[in-house]
Amino acid sequence: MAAGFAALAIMFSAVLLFGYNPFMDNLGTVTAPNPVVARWDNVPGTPVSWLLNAATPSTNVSNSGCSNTLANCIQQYLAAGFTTWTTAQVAIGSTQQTLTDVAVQYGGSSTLTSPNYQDCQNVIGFSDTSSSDFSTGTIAFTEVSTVTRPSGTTGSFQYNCKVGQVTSTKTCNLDDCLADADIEFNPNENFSTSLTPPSGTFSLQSVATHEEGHLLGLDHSGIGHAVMFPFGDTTSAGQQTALATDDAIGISFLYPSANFSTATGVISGTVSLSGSGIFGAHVIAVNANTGDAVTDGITAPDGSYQLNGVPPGSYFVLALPMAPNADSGILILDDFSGWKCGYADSGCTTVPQNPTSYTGRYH
Amino acid sequence: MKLRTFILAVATAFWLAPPAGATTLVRMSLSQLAQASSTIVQGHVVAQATRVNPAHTRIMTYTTVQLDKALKGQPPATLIIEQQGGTIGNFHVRVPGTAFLRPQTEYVLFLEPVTGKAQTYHMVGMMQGAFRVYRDRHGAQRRVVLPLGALSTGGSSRMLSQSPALGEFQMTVAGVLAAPIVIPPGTSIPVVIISTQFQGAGQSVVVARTTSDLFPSQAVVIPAGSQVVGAAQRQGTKWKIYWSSVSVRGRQAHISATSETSAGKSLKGRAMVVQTR
Repeated sequence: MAAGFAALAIMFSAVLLFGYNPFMDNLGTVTAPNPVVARWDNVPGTPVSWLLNAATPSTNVSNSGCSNTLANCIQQYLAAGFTTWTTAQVAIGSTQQTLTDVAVQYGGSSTLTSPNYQDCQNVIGFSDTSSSDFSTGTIAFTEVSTVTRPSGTTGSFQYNCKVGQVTSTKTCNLDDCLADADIEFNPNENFSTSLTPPSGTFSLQSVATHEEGHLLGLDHSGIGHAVMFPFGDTTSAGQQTALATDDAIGISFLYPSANFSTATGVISGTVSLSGSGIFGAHVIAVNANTGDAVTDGITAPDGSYQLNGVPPGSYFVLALPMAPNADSGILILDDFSGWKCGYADSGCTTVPQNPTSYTGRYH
Repeated sequence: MKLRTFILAVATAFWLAPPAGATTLVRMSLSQLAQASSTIVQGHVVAQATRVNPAHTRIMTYTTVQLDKALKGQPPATLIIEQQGGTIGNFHVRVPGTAFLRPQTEYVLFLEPVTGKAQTYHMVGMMQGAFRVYRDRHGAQRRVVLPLGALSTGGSSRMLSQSPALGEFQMTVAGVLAAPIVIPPGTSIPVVIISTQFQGAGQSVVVARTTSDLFPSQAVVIPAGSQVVGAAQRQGTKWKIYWSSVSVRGRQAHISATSETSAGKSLKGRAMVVQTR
């Protein structure tokens, strides 16, 4: 059916804005404009610790461009990925500012060869042979454990960590705390310590940076040039290690520095179709001067959205094709010629036309 | 279990997107998904359960799918989809990139078997392997939502819309399954020889298995463990192996490649890289 679609195309000028998208995978849990955030508690006072599986290095990791032993090089590049996050900066006006305060430390080696959801040890490994863990096409994954405050309770709560038969207790002072996150690289894929790896090989640091973003609490981004974009390949364009603005905003939102809230702002609104709020619309803040997709988010069930941590500037807010809900299909945009570079490998140079209205079909 | 919805909001916007980013997943075309699948089914979710493994280290979710139609392979009437994650107590475990399969919902699923577990599968390419079927607003037509939008077709000129009619989608899948698998010249295929069969003095049939997932083109995937067959001839102090075929989930692809290796010991267990011409 053809239906008029009143897309939100809002021009914000010279206001403090923010975009943040930690929750693309968790659409069903979004019940308010604010995303449900799970993060490590007591950070940076207690740094997030990670371990390296003792079975590493694996034969599927080649050492290139690193003069150390393979094991040390792997540790070095994994650490570099974390440093990318802990030193994330956001352009505020003409200056790059650090808006996050998160600390990560290497905690030594581990014998764990596949994830353990409740040992509260964050292990990175290359030797997971669990049959169901790596379907074809999976480069690496992060298994993230979150503990949630029991319903009907308030304040901090405790949870148990189990290593073998030994149980210890930890405290979460938030609504949701990350309790454990394990990263496994697919033994059937080839990795290289080189940032320009040979054909058919993935950059270890590039993949690590993405997975480490998950370990720190970030979800996938819908912006193509973000580190947290979920898809890629072994071409040079796929070997991204530098954070996009959306990535830097995300980590800053989770672990804000003191100046985060004053340096950035919020874009909020509602996406509607024929007067009804649309759940699951992909909302993107686009720099009105450069055309660059800065940050994005997903609308809540009532159609509302909130993009947090947007740097000062002028933005278009685009609402792109709708995710279907349980009972319906998808909105297809028939005419969307104004702007097509939001998902590109690098920033856009095309300024989007102001798409005040366009037509689509809602199945 | 806390419901986690499929990442369609991201995925449906991907029809504009070239490959990019540091990633969890290789973006697979419909051809690659079909090739990598041992089984493709149209079915509906009838049950879902979350359990801790016997070692108490993993939380897994098992979704029972009742078969409505087989598009590839000979699946059982009831299939179990094994996925990481779920909620036990106040621990919620999830893996970003995993598809959430909705109860009482129909899908076309691209599946690989889980080793050692009968009737149990996982989805090829994680969330890429789940195509939800829905009935359009007027109830007139059943359609399929492509997890990656039109990019699911791998840039093919026969690009589908983002929500093709179910029948159209089935025909497209049948089309890619019928198309020959063409492995491009210059493809490097790392293998380990797993067996040899004596064919006479200085001659053997050699069977090897690939050791890495390979994506030599947008239309082709060679999953790790695929079988590669060649003929070995003893030439002086060397074996010369003429490789002729690769089996991708039971489908044969012709290759032309030659390898040389010393004749000093058994060929079995030797690792080498097969370079196609």
